[in-house]
Amino acid sequence: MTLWQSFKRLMDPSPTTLNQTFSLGDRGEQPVVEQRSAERLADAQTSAEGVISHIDNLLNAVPEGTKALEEAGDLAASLDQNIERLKTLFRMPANKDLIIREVQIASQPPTRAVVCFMEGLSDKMVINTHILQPLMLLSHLDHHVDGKGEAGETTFTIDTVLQRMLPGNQVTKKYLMDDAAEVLLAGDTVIFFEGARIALDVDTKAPPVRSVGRPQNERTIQGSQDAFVEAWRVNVALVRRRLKDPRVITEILSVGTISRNYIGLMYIDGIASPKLVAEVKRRIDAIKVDIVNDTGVLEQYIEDSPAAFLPGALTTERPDRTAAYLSEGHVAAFVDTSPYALICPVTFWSLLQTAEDYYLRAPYGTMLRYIRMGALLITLMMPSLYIALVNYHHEMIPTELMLFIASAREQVPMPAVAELLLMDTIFELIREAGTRIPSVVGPTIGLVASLILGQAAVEARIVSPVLILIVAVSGLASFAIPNYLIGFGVRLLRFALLLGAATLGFYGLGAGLFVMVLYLAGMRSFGVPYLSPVAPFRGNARDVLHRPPMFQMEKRPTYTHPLDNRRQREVVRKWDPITRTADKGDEPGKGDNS
Amino acid sequence: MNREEGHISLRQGFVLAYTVMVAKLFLQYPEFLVDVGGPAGWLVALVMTGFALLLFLPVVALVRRFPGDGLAAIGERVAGPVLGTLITLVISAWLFVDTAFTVRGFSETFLIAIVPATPPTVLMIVGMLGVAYASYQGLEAMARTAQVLFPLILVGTLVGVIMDLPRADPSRLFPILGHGLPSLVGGGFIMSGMAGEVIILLAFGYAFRDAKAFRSSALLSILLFGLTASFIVAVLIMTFGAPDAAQQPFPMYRLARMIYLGRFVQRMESIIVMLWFFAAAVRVSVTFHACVVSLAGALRLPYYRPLIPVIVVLVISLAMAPEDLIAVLRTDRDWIRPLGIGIILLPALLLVIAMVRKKGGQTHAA
Repeated sequence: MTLWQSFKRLMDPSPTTLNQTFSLGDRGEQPVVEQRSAERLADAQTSAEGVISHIDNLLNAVPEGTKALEEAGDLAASLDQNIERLKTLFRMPANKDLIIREVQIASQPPTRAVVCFMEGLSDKMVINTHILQPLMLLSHLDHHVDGKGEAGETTFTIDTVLQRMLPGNQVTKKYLMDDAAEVLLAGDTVIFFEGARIALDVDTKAPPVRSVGRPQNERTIQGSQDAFVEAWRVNVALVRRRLKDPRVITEILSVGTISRNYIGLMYIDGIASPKLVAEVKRRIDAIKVDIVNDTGVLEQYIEDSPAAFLPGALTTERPDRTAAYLSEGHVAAFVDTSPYALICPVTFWSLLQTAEDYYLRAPYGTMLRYIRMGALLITLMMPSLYIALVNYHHEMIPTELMLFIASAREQVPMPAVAELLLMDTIFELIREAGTRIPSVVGPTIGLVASLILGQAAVEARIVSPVLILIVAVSGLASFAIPNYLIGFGVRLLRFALLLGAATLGFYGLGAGLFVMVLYLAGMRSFGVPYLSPVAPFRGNARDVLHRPPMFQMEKRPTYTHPLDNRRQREVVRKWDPITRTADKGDEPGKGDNS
Repeated sequence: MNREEGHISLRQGFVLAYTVMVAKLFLQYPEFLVDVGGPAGWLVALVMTGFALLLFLPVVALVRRFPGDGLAAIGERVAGPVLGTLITLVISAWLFVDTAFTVRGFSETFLIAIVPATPPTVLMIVGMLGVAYASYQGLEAMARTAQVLFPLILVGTLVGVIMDLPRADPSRLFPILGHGLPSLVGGGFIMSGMAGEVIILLAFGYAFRDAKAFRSSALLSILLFGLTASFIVAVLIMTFGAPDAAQQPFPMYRLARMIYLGRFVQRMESIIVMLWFFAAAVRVSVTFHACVVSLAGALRLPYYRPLIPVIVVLVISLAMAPEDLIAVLRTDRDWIRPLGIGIILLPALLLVIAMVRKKGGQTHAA
C-alpha cells in the first residue's frame, strides 16, 4: 500500500473497513446462490439415481422371492455408476480422505473391482495383506472362481469372494450406498465389483486410539487401575472382561446426522428391567441432532431434567464400577470417542460412593462414606452457618471464640457476607484457572495464588483470617466429593443457602435446606426417585451411607426393579459358625468344614 | 387428577401424619395439656390419644369401604354432589384455617427465638413460598422430603427434652391424677382435637395403595404422637412444675434454652429451632396441600396447581389477621381444637350415610 493509499484510507470517513477486507456476510451480501444450487442439484441427482436403481433392483427381485426383495438395494450393476455416486456423496475430488483403488481380480477373465477406504481410519496392513493381495495375486489359484460371462454380464459370485478370497474376520454384504458410506466412515473397507449389485464390507477399523490408561478422576488406592478410552469397543471389552456371562448384551445405536456416532448400550438380560432398557433406547432413538460426541452431551439429551442442578445419570471412567452397576440391573451407554460410560439410572447416594468403598473392608468403606457425607455438608453449609452465626446468632458461639472473631473482624470494613462472596469467587477463580493452565505449572500457580492472595487479603484487612479458614475448609471439602458433576451442583446450591442465611439467619438456612430436599425429592432419573432407596425407603437400603459387609449384601437394589433380585445366597460363609446358624436351612455341624 | 400424584407407602403416611401432629408440640400445645391436667398433663396426653384413636376408627372403616379414593371422591360418592361437596368444603376450610394459624404461630416462635428484628410478614411470606413450592411438587415429593428430614425432626423434638433431664424432678408429677379423674377424662376428650390433622390422610386417601396402609399409618401416627406428647409434657412438668409449665407460651423453646452440658453445649436453641423449622415446614406444607387438593376435588377442578397461589395469598392474609400472639393462642384453643373433634367426626357421618345407602363395601378392602 502506497503512502497516498494509506492516507486516503485514513481520511475516508465512510467505511470502517476496506471493501477488500474478508467478511462472512456481515455487510449484507447475498449467499452464493449458484454454488448452493449446484450442490443441491448434485445431491438430488445422486439421490434420484439411487432411487431409480433401487426400484430397478426391486422389480428384478420380485420373481425371485422374499429373500431377494429384502436384499434388493440401491447399488447399480455398473461399477462406474456406483463409484460416481460414491464420489459425489463424498464430495470428491475436494475431499481427499476417501481412497479409491481400482483393481483387477485375477480370475479368468479378470474382473474389475474397486477397493474403498478412509485414510487414517483403516488398517492399511490388513487392507494390503487381507484384501488386495488375495484379490489381485492369489485368486487365480482357486479354479472355482471363474467369471463366466453371459451376454456381457459377469456371473462372478460374490459369495465365492466372501467365503474363499477374503480372509478378513468380519466380512458382510452391503446393498445400499448409505450403508456402504456409513461403514466406510467407521473405518471399514468396502469393495465394489463390476456387474454386482452388492458391495462387500471388510472390517479394517483402526481409528487412532490411545492405550488403556489409569483413571484421571476416579483414582483409587485399591482396585483395578484401568480406565476407559475413546474407543467404545475397547470400553465394552474392558467391561466384558469383568462380566463373563453370555447374558451380557451390547446393542449398537447410532446418533447424530453428521457425527453418526455409535452408542453402545450394555445391560444384562435377565437382571436389567426390560422397561428400563426400552426407555433408555427410546430416549436415545428420539435424538435427532447433528452431533453427539460425548457422554456429557448424550446425558443432556436423555436425562429427565436437563436443567437440574445435579446430574441425571452417572458418568464413570472405571470399567469395574460399570460392571458392578450392570450386575445391579443398571444400563450403561458408551459413546464412541468418549472415555466415560453413562450409567442409568442414578441416585443421589450413588454419586457419593466410589468403587473403593467395596474393595476396602466394611468399616473402612463406611468411614470413607461418612467422611464424604461430612465433606458434602461442610461444602454446602459451612459458609452459610458462619454467616448466620456472626450476623444473627452470636449467642451460640462461646464467648472467647466470639471475642476472637469480633476482634479479627473489627478492622475489616466489609460485611461478612461480602467478604465471603469475595473469597468464594476468588477460590472459584483459582480452581478454574488451575484446571485450564498447563499441567506442569498449574498446581504451583494455584498454590501460590491461594497463599499469596489469602495472606494479602488478610494483611490488607479486606477479609478476616477466620473467613479464610472457612473458605479454605469448605473448598477442601468440595474436593472430597467423588463425583465431578455433583461438585458443581453443590457449589451452586451453596450460594443459594448463603443468600438465605445472609438475609434470615437460621430461618433462611432452614428454608433453603427444606426447598433443596424438596427439589431432590421431586427429581427422578429414568423413572427412579432421586433419593432412592432412602426416600422412598426400600427394604434393603443398607448400602447407602453405611457399607455393610459383603456377605450381608444379599439382594440387588430394588429401585432398578431387577428381574432377579438376589445376588448371593442367604448364607455364603457356610464355614463360619456365626453366620451359618443364621441359615435356617443348614443345621449346625453340617457345614462345609464339619 | 390426584391419582397423577403417585403413591405413598405406609411408612410415608406415618411420617407425614406424625410430623404434622408432633410439630404442634413446639408451639403452645404442651401448655394446654398442663393447663387441663395439672401435674397429670402427661396422662391427659395418653387419654387424648385413646379418644383420638377411637374417634378415628370410623374414618378407617370409611376408607376400607372406598380404598383408593380421597376425601372429595368419597364425599361425593357417599353423600352426593351437594352434601358430599359441602362436607369436603367444611374440612378444607378447617384445614385452611388451621394452616393459617399454624403459620402465624410458628412465625411468632421464630420471631422470638431466632430472628427478633425481622417483621413477621417477611417470615410468613418466605415460609409460604416454600410451602407453595412443596405443594407444586406434589404429595410424593413432600412425603419423601418428610422421610429424609424425619431423623432431624426427631432430634429436634427429643434432644432438647432429653438434655434437660438432669434438671427434672419426678416428685413434681404428683399428685398423679392431677386435678382429678373427671378433668383427666374430660380434658383428654376435649384435647383429642389435637389429633384432628390426621384427617390429612383421608384427604390423601387416593395415594395409598390399600386401606391397610392407610389404617396402619393413621393409627400408628396417633399412637406415637400421643406417647411423644406425654413424654414431653412429663419432662416439662418435672422441670418447671405444673403451675409454671402452664404459664409457658413456648415451653419447648424454654426447655431448649436451658440446655447446659458443659461450656460448649449450651445456647443450642437456635440450632434446635432450625430443626423445628423442618417440622413446621412439613406440617404447613402437608395441611396446605390437603386443603388445596380437597378443595380442587370439591370444585371438580382437573388440576389443583392453579389454586396454589390463591390459597397462599389467603393463608398469609388470614395469618396476619389476629392482632397478636395471644389472639392466635385463644382462637386456636377455643375454636380450632374443639372443631378438630368435629372434623374427625364428619367422616363418621359419611360412614353412617354409606352404610345406610349401602355405598362401597368390604369387597374392595384390603
